[in-house]
Parts: sequence; structure tokens; C-alpha cells
Amino acid sequence: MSKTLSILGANAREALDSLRKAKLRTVLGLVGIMIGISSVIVMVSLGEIAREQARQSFEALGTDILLVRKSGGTVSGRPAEIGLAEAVAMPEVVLSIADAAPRIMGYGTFRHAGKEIGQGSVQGVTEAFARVNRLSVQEGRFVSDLDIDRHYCVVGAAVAEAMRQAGTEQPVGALIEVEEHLFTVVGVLNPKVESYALPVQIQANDSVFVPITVSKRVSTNPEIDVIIARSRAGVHYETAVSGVRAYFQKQAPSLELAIVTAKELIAQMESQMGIFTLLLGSVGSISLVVGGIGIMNIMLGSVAERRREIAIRRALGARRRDIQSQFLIESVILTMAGGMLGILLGLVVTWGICQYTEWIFLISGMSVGGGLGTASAVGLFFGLQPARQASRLDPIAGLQSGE
Amino acid sequence: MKATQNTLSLTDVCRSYRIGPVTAEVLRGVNLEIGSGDLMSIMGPSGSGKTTLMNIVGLLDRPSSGTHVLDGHDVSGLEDDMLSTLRNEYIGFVFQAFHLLPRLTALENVCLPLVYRGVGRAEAIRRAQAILGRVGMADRSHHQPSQLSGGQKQRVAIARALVGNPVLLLADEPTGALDAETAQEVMALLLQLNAEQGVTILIITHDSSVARQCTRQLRIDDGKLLELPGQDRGADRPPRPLADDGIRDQGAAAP
Ligand SMILES: Nc1ncnc2c1ncn2[C@@H]1O[C@H](COP(=O)(O)OP(=O)(O)O)[C@@H](O)[C@H]1O
Ligand SMILES: [Mg+2]
Repeated sequence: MSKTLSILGANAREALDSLRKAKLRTVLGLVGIMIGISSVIVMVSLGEIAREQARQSFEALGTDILLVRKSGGTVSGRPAEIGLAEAVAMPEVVLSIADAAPRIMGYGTFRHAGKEIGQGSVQGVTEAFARVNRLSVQEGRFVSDLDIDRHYCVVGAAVAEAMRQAGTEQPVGALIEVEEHLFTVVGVLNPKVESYALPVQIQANDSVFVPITVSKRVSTNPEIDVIIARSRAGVHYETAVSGVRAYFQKQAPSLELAIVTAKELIAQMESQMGIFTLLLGSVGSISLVVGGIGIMNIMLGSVAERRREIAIRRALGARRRDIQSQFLIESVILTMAGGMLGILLGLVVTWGICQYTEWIFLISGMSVGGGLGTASAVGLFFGLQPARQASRLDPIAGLQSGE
Repeated sequence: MKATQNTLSLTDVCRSYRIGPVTAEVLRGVNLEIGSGDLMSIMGPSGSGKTTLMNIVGLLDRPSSGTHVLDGHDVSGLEDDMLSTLRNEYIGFVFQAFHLLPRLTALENVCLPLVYRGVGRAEAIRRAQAILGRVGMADRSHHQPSQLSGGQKQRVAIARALVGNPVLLLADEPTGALDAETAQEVMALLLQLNAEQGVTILIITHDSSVARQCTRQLRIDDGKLLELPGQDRGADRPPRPLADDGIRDQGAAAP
């Protein structure tokens, strides 16, 4: 064992030395491997970055979310819309749905203490809306299903701040005027950061939330624009989608729905990544094969050129396996060096793509490890044949070949 | 241990090459006994099979038939790995063309046999330095072969052949590529190593002046080996059997 190790050590030193002294050949071999490995790195890194990007985007929202919207206009001339009662009753009827929060969306100017304090959305919601969207109340309470036709409202953090600016120390209990309707503030929301990558924007900070039943009466466009729902734990998103469709098919046959799920969006993102990955993967593997063949060529040339050296080593007592390991180590060192350069190049390219697409950039251990692993595998695979060839050369013939 | 038996004995060794339909018999029943401390020369015309014989003695080649006993081991049927190991431990080679590895320094060249024996780097360097000193090349140990003269290269090659303490030093025309003066210097070194350290040496040569300096002189002719009489160093050595080729002619017919 220690004999084998010390021979391996000597072989590694030899291999490095021989590569240093055959510069052009070494550089050519490195380039092929470098391109191959960098493609692999870009591929693996982007895949991971996309997944991380998606994960972060949906983290706040949760991956069990469904957005149900009306898609078409009218069918056979009859106006069809999402009914409030059906929307509210959905979790009770559709087994795969845990919670549903319909919304009527408006937009308006907010006045307080005789001054205009800002503009923003006026969202008609139910009690479920805070649960589904993970909104939390800083003071007071959220809209209640018992509010029915009371002109109560809950204001977002920025709206509350504007009221304080206007001189009201305690927004809860104060009055706010929204497009000529007067509301009593019953709650103030905690500030909330939202990702722009999300398929639905709440913009809670700048909004005023009122009971959906009030919206129905006072809004200029009293139509439910979306139901934000959550599926039950463990339910596949397709099951939830078809449950919702079946439900509305029964309730309102002429209604056409567009349903978006977080999981579907992630799947879409991943399938786009998949195409990208496939592309890079094939570029990567083609250049790895080309690079590998290049390495093989280089090593075969090296073996042919060093027949005398091999014969001398054999005469001095090198066994076949010692010769084989010397050449294998040489090709693995070559591909590993190419691999390391490829990793650097790959990370630079990935970084560039992330800059361009404004994605987060991260270096994954998997891509670096995978890159080095692939490089050494290529070195072993394409180096084996030349190394075997070297080990099988006839020492007698090699010794006779002139200097 | 090594001194108790003959260092080497070849019995009835034949070697033939098949070239297409023709079989060329190069060695036809060679018998050879080498004792510890022998200094022998083999002469013969070009193409007579000297190198072929040396390759067999040095375990680089196998006889087509006959037995080959090295230091008490029958090596005829051994596999390649074992032959490599024995070569490493028992044989030192010196070649006409020096055969130093051009990318390595003199010292690294001399280390090689120890590397393949698994000797650690520091120890190998220590021993290689010592042996380079013995052949008068201590101050050239970090030179590359291209920076050395022919005689110096051959001294390094001799150091490399000796560094592992082989039982037998095989020199195939060691002076063949050197001018007369340098050749004599190298020859003197070999004689000195034999006389002072008891190194067993077999020299293949074209040069009768080289051959004459050896205590045992053999000729290879028509595939057979015969020892020239005389030159015996005296009564301390028992008479050696000659190649009795008259009787063993049928050995050549074997494949
Ligand atoms: N590999 C081989 N194949 C065929 N013939 C060979 C081979 N090696 C040597 N010979 C032949 O064997 C004979 C002896 O060669 P060699 O031992 O090199 O002679 P020497 O060293 O005495 O000049 C020559 O005729 C040579 O052509
Ligand atoms: Mg010869």
C-alpha cells in the first residue's frame, strides 16, 4: 500500500512536470475541457438560482395559493361573473380548498381631517382575506364578516402614517373619506414587503380595506376581480383547480375561469429552466466529449512520443500499472485544471446572466463539486485508453528506438 | 543469501522470432552460469543475438524454451508484474545510448529504480546522492542529461543501474557511443566497481579491448554461447562448464 502510494506520488509529480513542459498541447487540452465544464457550471448554477428565485418569491405567499379570476367576457350574451355567495361558500363545498378570499378592487383618493392624504386601492374584502394573504393587524382589528354594511375600514401602514402626518395621533377610531364615502378606521395593518414577482399584488401598505358587502354597494365596478384561495395541505394543485372548476361549473355554467396556482407557476418556471438546462446541457456535453477526445488525442500523442521513456521506466522496474497510473494521473490533472478554469469561467458567465436578468447570484457547492467531478471523470474515461496503451508497449522495442 | 548460489543460470535457452511464415532462431540452446562477483564480457558480430540474450537475462524478454533461474528463483513462468518487480530488485541496466530520461535531472534519473521500489522520496534522494558520489558525479546531480557529456551520462546511467543494489549489472555496449578515452574511463569505473564492491557485471561489447579486461570472456556465434579459455583469475574459482552445444543441438528445434 505504501509502495503504491509513494509510486502514485512520484507519478503525480512526473505528470505535472511533463504537462508544464508540453505547453501548447496542454493549453489546447485545457480549452476544450474548460468550455465543457463552464457550460455544466452555468447549467447547474442557473437551475439552482431559478429554483431559489422561485422559492423566495413564493415564500411569503405560500405554494398552496390559487388565484381564481374570470377569464372571458360573456357567454351567449349573458353577463357572467363570480358571485360573492359562491366565492365565500367555496371552502365549505370544495374539499380541496381550505380558505377563499374574494376581493372587489377599486381605486380612490383618501381624505382625512379635511386634507387629501393620498391615493391607493380600495379593496373590498372578507375576514378571510387577512388569513389568506397573511396580513397582520398592528392596532384594532381586521374587517369582520359581521360588519356587513357598516362603513368600517382597515388602513395599510402607509395610509395610517399619512393620517398621523395630518395630525391624527391615533388612526383607529378616526374617520377617513374615500371617494365621497366616509369610513371609520377600525384597524391598522403592519407594514408588509411584497415581491414584484408575485402573480397578485395586494399592496397592503397603500390600501384601504372595507367589507366586501360595502364595496358591492358603493364601488363603481362592484365585480369580484379575484378569489385568492388556499388549497388544503397535501392536495395536488391540479386537484384543487379541477375542484374549483367543477364547483363553478355547477354554480354558474356560463362563467369562464382562469385559475393560476403557485405550484403551476413554479412548474412553468422550472420547465422554462428545463429547456435552458437542456440546451446548456447539450452544449456542455458536446464540448466535454470534444474536449475529452482532445485529451485522448493529446495523451495518445504523448504516449507515442514517450515510447522510449516508457520502455526505460519498464526496464528500471515499473510495472504496467505504474505506467498506466502515470498517464492516467496526467490526463486527470489536465482535465481537473481545465475543470477549475471552467468553473471560474462558468461562475463569471452565471454572474453576468444574473446581472442581466436581475436574479440573485449564488455559488452552489453542487455545481463546483459536480464540475470537478465531471472533469475528473472525463480525464479518467478518455485517459484510460491511452494509459492502457502506454502500459502495454513492448519495452524491448522502446529501448531500441533511437534518441 | 545471494552469495550461496549461482547468481544466474540459463539452461538450454532458445529464442526465435516468427516473421510471417519464417521462424528466425536467434538463440539456439544457450547455457550460462553467472557467479556472484563475476566480470564477464560477451562478444559477437552484429545481429548475433547479444541484445536478445541480455533482454532475456534482464527479464525484459522470455525464452522460447529453456529454463532461467535467477538467484535461486525459476523465473521462466512468472507473470509480467512479478518480472518487473524482480527486474527492479535484481537487475541494473546500462545501455549504449545511455537512456537517461531527458526531462529529469541526473539525481531524479538515479532515483527512478527506488521510486518503483516504493522507497520514500527523501530516502531515495539520499541514496541517489551517495551513489552519484561513488561514480564521481556528485557535483552534477542537478544537471539535465543535455548538460552532460557522453561519459558523464554513462556514469549517471551506471549510478542509476547500481542504486538499488542489483545482483547483476547488465551493460549493452556501454562504451559503444563514447570516444576511446572516455570509453576507457567508463570501463575503468566498471572494473573498479567489480573489484572494490564485488558488483557482478555482464558487458556486451564489440570492442575486444573492452572484452579483454574482463575475467570471463564469452562469444556468441550462430546462436550459441561459448566461453574462451584462459584469463581465469586463478584457483579461487572452480572451472565453469562451457556451452556444450555439440550435444544440445536439438534444443534449437523447439518452438
Ligand atoms: N523483435 C524482433 N523480431 C524479429 N527479429 C528480431 C527481433 N529482435 C531481434 N531480432 C533479430 O534477432 C537477431 C539478433 O538481434 P540482436 O540480439 O539485437 O543482435 P545484436 O545485439 O547481437 O546485434 C537479429 O537478426 C535481429 O534481426
Ligand atoms: Mg545489440
